[in-house]
Amino acid sequence: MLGPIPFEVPAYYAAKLHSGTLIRAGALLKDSASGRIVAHLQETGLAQNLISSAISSPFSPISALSSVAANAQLVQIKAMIEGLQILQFVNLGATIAGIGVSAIGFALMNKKLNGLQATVDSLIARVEARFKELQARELRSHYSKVHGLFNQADQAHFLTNAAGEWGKIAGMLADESAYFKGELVYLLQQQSFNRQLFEPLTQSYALCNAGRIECLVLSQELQAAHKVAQDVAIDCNRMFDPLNPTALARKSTILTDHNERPYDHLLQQELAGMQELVSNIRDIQDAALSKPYLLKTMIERDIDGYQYLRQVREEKERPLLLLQAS
Amino acid sequence: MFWKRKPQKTQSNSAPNLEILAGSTELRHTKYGNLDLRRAILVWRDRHIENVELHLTRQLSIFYRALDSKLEKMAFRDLFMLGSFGKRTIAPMYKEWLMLEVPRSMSAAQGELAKIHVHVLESVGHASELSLKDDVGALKDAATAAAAGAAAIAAIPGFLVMSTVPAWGVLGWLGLTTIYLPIVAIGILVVGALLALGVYKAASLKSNAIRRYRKAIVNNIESQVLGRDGNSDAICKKLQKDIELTANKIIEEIDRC
Repeated sequence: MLGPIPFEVPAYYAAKLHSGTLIRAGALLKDSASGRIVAHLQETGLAQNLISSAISSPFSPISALSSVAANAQLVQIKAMIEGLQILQFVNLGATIAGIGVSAIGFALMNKKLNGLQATVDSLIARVEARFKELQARELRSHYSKVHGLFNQADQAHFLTNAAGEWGKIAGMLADESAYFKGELVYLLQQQSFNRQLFEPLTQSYALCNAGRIECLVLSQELQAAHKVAQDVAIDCNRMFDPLNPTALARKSTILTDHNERPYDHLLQQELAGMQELVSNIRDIQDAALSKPYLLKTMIERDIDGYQYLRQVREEKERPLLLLQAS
Repeated sequence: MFWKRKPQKTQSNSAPNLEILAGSTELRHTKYGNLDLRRAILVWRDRHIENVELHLTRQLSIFYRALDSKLEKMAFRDLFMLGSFGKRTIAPMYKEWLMLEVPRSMSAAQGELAKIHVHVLESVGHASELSLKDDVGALKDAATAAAAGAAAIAAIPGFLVMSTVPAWGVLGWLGLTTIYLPIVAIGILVVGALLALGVYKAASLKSNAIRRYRKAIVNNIESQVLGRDGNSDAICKKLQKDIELTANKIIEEIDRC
């Protein structure tokens, strides 16, 4: 179903991608000769529903899925997106930051948030008692606040002044995003690298930002959404650029704890896992970097933000659509 | 030489067709997203930071095999003249190894960067130059230090090699030579007595001495090359820093566009 927004279907671009006339960079399709952006990838509600139900952790490769039901859904996703040669991009880190403007919807965001909170809670339960109490309470308070904000954002559809409410919520989500960013920065400064905590915190940070941008797009504040997307992309690069698999492997607890096994062997073993993690992080960065370009195109083409999101959420046939660059 | 191998096949270049295009900042921002170039640089950086570490680790293990074969051929008298043995045999081997393996690991990084570099020359030209100047300096330092280390070890009579706790390392030995000379004198008597016990005992002492001498050399080299003991001046760390700085400069250029 294609509505008032002039989306294009992936099949049109698939052949050009296949022939090499076009290349994909993040969520952008570019002319390989000139480097010019030709189109923007945009996920739909269908993609998010399928991926959310099929993948328990966005940091897990889609190929690691084991349940028959999940694999059946996976086959559906694969069949639809293979033509765009973006399977790797779609299945991993990019789903955290959202491909294009997030089409996930606030209710599904809350569902994801529940899973993240449970993961973080179980990790904190292993920490020393006094510190655990303080940290758990603080994290609980922030997760509750984000839950509340996503609920309000969902309910705002029924308000007479919904735009004003979404604007306020975007501001409050900025505070929560700053909190998770601070936690991530602190975590990355530690002598040893706690991957189990890093992953849910990254997802929580990405969800807050996706929610902020979604609120601003819904309230037709596209310039503000563009500015937020730019700032988020810069923050992601500042935080994640310095990460590399070798440094993370050296900081992993297996190597920092005085293990009896040979260092070289452990380093090699850790490197494989860290390569995968860093690859996912780069996908998140690419997805974040792509967003301002899409929003700029939306502004230039004078696209209605509310209509745009409504259309991508209601799309039932394709997990991805394309918006031609201006 | 023992570490000379058949030339390895170069890795295939998976970097896409990349370029920074001319035009105003605003035009570039709107029309061209250089995400692909940015990512390619990060991938290049990460891959070669890893490669340097793995390459040096792997080649060191080959070097140690050659070292072992040299140590196996040590005469008993060499244990009493470790200085000349180290200078004559170990230091040149080590220096030659460094001069071969370090540039080899960096030339792989340079070669792969050049494949991206061709497309970004106009914009980032100098920033993408991967200078080996400092690294050559580091190599010389390391080689000199290795020679000095070997000489320092050599200044210690062989029995000290046999009788000290290995964990003290080279510095511990140096301390002993200057502070505990009476122990050295006692050591001479002890070794003399032990030698009198016969060839079997002497062979056992020789093998223990060589083992400890080897451990000292390996510890010294590991610290200078890999720096896993926290030596921030280690060659591996310096090379990784060079790769990182080169990548940072290119990324700064991309982000300014």
